[in-house]
Amino acid sequence: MQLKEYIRLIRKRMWLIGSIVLLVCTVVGIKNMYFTPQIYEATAKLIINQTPRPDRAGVVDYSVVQTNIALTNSYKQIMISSAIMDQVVASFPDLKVTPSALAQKLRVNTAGDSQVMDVTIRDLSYTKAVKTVNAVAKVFKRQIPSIMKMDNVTILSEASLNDPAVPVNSNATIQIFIAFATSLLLGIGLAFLLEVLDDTFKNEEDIEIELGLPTLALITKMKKEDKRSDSSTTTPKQVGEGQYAAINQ
Amino acid sequence: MPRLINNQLVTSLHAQSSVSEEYRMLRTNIQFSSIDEPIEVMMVASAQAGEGRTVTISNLAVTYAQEGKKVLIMDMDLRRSSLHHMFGLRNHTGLTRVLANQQAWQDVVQETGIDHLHAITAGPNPPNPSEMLSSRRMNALLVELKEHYDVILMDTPPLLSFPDGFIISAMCDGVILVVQAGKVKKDVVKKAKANLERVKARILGVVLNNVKRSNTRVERGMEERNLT
Repeated sequence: MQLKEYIRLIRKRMWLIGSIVLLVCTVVGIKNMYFTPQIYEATAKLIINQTPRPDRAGVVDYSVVQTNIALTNSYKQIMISSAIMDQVVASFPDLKVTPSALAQKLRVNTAGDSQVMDVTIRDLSYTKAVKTVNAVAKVFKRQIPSIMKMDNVTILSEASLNDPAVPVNSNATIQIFIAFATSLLLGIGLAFLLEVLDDTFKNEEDIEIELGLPTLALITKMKKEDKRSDSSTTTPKQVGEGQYAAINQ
Repeated sequence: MPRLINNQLVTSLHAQSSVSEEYRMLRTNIQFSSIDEPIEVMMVASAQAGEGRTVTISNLAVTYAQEGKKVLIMDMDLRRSSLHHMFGLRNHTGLTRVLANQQAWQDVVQETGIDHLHAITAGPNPPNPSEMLSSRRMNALLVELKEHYDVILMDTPPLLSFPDGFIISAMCDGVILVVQAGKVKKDVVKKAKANLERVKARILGVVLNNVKRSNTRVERGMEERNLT
């Protein structure tokens, strides 16, 4: 087949392709709009830094920094442990979470070898995410001295309700674009498949090749304008009267 | 008497339309397909039901009549007759009455409201259509009718459903095979054609029916260019 043939085929099944594309995009769009819960994220930053001894104030001690970095890894584990989680649930009953559910929502990260910990909570409500993450940070800061016998956790930044709440999971534009491209390919593929599977006569060539018979006439599909009478004044009496000049008379 | 003519009879209702022109093309091509021995008795056949036999034969009959020929159109489909619907005729009398020796053919011929065009409807459904069509009475009737008409056109049942079509083909000078575009499988039509050849029917050619307009526009344009 030539390129022209392909284009003709696609044009022929344009309605099929178009409706598939429209259907898929609509379904994806509706799913995105109404059925995908939007998830919000709130982050608090903690810094692990031991208060330097008074005699060494103003001097950054390399070994102390290294110790803090090493501690950070332990702190990540401590934070999601029940020691902290239970305390958060007990101190902030208005959050209405269980310790295990909270541990699942919680993500603790450190950016490489740094003393800073990012505490992140994902929730369906941005407000709740902010409140929860701040609660965890506060409880953690309060509990560390009793667990580690060291008061070296400082809250660097709390999550703020003033930040614009942007959902992190759904990017409707990209999803609809992907749906559009995929369904377009699917539709075109289907059109070609139907053409290959279509085992019927469609033009004079088919008849000549398959039957070896001449085509006496091609009768096009009758449309409304063909079925309508020549003019509105045509009465049944006039039917069949010589509007047509015969050749062989 | 005002009749309810079926709106598919475009050659009568809308003689200037392009579809009417296509039926006239069909008539001309049939005339060209045999020059030495004129084709007087013709039938339309198709492999399956619903391919447009009755519409084709009726419009062809009208174009022959418009040419001034004396035309008789007969409904040989004694099983599911439909010709009377095309011309708004009654079917309480018809071919089966003649074949059962109940009426003379002159009594069952009906005017169609179109000049030069007469019709014989099928009549009441008989229990044995195939036997009736292959009877000696049928052959004798046809001989008689040929004396009165220039062209006799026959509507038939679908070929692959009943033997009737092949029986009728033996009486005809030519068979016009109607194929509905984009609907009937090639193998089915091939089988019908092979069966027609086995009974030594003379197939004049194919009428490709219900072709989508967009597909033919290009071809028609090319024809016009070749003519000029």
